[in-house]
Amino acid sequence: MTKLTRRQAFGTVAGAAAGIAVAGIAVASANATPDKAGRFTTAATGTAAGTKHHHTAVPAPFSEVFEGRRIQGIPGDANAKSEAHGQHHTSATGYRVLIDGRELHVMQKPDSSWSSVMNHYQTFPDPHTAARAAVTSLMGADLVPHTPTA
Amino acid sequence: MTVRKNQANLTAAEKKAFVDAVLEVKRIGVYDEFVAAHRLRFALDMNTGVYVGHFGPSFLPWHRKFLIDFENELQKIDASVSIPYWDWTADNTVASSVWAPDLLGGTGRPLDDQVMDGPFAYSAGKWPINIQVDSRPFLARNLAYRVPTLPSRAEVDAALAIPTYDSAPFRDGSAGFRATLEGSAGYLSMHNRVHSWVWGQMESSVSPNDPVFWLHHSFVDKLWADWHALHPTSAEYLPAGGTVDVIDLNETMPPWPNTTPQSMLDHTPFYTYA
Ligand SMILES: [Cu+2]
Ligand SMILES: [Cu+2]
Repeated sequence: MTKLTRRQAFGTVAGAAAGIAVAGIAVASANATPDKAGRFTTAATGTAAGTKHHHTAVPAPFSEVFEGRRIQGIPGDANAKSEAHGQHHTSATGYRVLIDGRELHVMQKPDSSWSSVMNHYQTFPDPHTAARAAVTSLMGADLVPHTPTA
Repeated sequence: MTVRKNQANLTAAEKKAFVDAVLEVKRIGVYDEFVAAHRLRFALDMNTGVYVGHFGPSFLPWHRKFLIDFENELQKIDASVSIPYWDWTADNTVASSVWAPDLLGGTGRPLDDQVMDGPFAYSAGKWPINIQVDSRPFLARNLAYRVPTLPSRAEVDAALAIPTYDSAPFRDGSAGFRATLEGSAGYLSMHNRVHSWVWGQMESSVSPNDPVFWLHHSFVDKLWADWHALHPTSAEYLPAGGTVDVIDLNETMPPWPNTTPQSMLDHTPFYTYA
């Protein structure tokens, strides 16, 4: 049954959308309770703490002005509870990236490479490279809160 | 019967019918629910380590079902419409008919990557970007900016020649047809490379904001059908069962309650390719 643990975490979301077709997932998640949002982040924490994924050490922090934008990388605690970050959807390692103070959602993939919501079909060696790529993609625009389950 | 055609072969009337149906699905609010569903699935795939829509074997059946649902919405507007496919190995320049003003419009302007022509230009008033990861309200592209070339026919043929659908560990970098086609086995290759070549929203988790998403994935789906025809004795889908964090042949794929990879293996009850 252990293989079902993580599936159950989002299977409930799918169950809530059952019968509403694919579009229903947006409706279901719009009604998400804090519990549901917490479960999403808890599942991510489980990935980092699990035995399947051997993530490398958390990357170093950084802070610089790149192409006129302040970019920052803030290492987190991989085992931190979601509540510690409030509504922030951190990566599986808890590492956070900010562009002009706004959160860039980044995530580490199973092969230890990194990706971000701005550049989802590329991978980067570290969050710093992902942050620079996102600045280039933004063309001066601002990030908006990334809340796919809210 | 739904027949999906190469966009290069569409008549002017077929292009107009497709565009009009897409605009109407957008106007009634249904289109953005697809964008939101894709963003959610991508976030879950990335963060939970359970690979359903991306990075695993169900990449192909998940997107097949996603396109069928979208095509059904188009057909509620106009029963004659189907999703065209964009063969990016052949129509591989910014001058391709897919980017003409009577279909999807062209690349973005230098200032902010904003698409300025065609039915989906912000200035045309019918294509606000509502489900976003950044503050831009307009469709953005920068064709051939991030990577200068699209995957070649030779690369596609090499992928099609692989007799194994997918293999352990059934994720990024796995050997086999699926990961090779998805492009997760190499940096900026194949399906992933096409997203990056278009740039703008197509490069982000809200990629269905650009209607070319459907034409791109229709071609990816056709390649899956082509692969199956080339390898009639290969297992149509792997893994068959018992695989942690991966959708097995007869497991349901969220968010659909009854859709399994098995139920998506044969596309012909839903549509054919011309
Ligand atoms: Cu996708
Ligand atoms: Cu895609």
